[in-house]
Amino acid sequence: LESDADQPITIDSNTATYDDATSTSIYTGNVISIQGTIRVNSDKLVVYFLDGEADKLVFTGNKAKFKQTPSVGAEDVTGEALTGEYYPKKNLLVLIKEATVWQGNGTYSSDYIEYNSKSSVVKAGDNSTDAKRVHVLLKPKQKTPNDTGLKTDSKKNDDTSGKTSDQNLQ
Amino acid sequence: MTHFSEKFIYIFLTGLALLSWWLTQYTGLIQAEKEKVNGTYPDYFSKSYTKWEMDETGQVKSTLTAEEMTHYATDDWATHTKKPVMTFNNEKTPPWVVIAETGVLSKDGKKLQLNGKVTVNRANTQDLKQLTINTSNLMVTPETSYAETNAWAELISASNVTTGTGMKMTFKEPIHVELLSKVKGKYETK
Repeated sequence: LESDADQPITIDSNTATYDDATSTSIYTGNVISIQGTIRVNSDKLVVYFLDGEADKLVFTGNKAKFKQTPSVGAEDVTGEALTGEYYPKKNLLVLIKEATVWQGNGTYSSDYIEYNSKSSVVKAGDNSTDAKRVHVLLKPKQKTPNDTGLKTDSKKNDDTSGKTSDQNLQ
Repeated sequence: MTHFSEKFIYIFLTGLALLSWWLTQYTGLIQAEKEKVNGTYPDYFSKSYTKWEMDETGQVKSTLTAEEMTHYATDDWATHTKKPVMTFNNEKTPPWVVIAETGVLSKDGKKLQLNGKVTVNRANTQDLKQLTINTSNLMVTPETSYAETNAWAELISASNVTTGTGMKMTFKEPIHVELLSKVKGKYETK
């Protein structure tokens, strides 16, 4: 939800260490991080502080999984990756390495996916390199019986892949 | 001996008894008697007690003050303190101040068991936020500026709160605090 950004971030884990020298807190063991409807499950979480506030959260896991409810009543957006970086002030969640996001009928896979937790915009791939190829799978909407004319073929998938896919799905 | 002088003697003796009772109260001997620990009497005690520990260069490394200190000759945990306050000085950052309800120092002075509610606090500076730790039953090793507890502990810094069960921490730079289980963190983002 849009209001997620204003909610506090709560974290549950097995153990935690706070290190003054690096201004970081490290949570390990079944880490569950929640901010409003955003929920991330990971093996480890490192919180980087700036002026005493959580500036960046780095999740790692095999894999780290996230989900968010984009708007009331809407289907959850879910995703996973080996590493995730969350910037609370920018409402930005970056999924890195074997990243996949499921949003509505679309599935986006790449080694680098940016997900805006306020506008629910998914941005996959990276212009500056060919290494971050994007694989997008858009399943056609399920045809209801009263749809006329078009023959329903649920096996036909529209499989597109390209360097960068910027899908603005509201 | 007339009836009047006999009466006077009784009054005099009663007054003497009351006076001596008041004197024992005043000098605290009775209290020392009450504080018999493991069958041993205190061999000395002190009010407004302060103990300094220096480092190799003669700088004050840590200070232990207490409202009252009672020392027992034969007990392993020899020095019992009331309202102890332990201060660990650091070169670049404000000192860590550890406050407890009671504390017991081991005979060799290497261990300080702080009982009841314990508060650990470091003031803030331009670069560092104030850090406060609330816990209980903290075992402190002054020599290595190390402390640990099995009890619940709460770490408060700015608007961030992290709690857990069991804690290990070092007071020496760089400060390192570890919460051992059932950890919950809460960070305000506004």
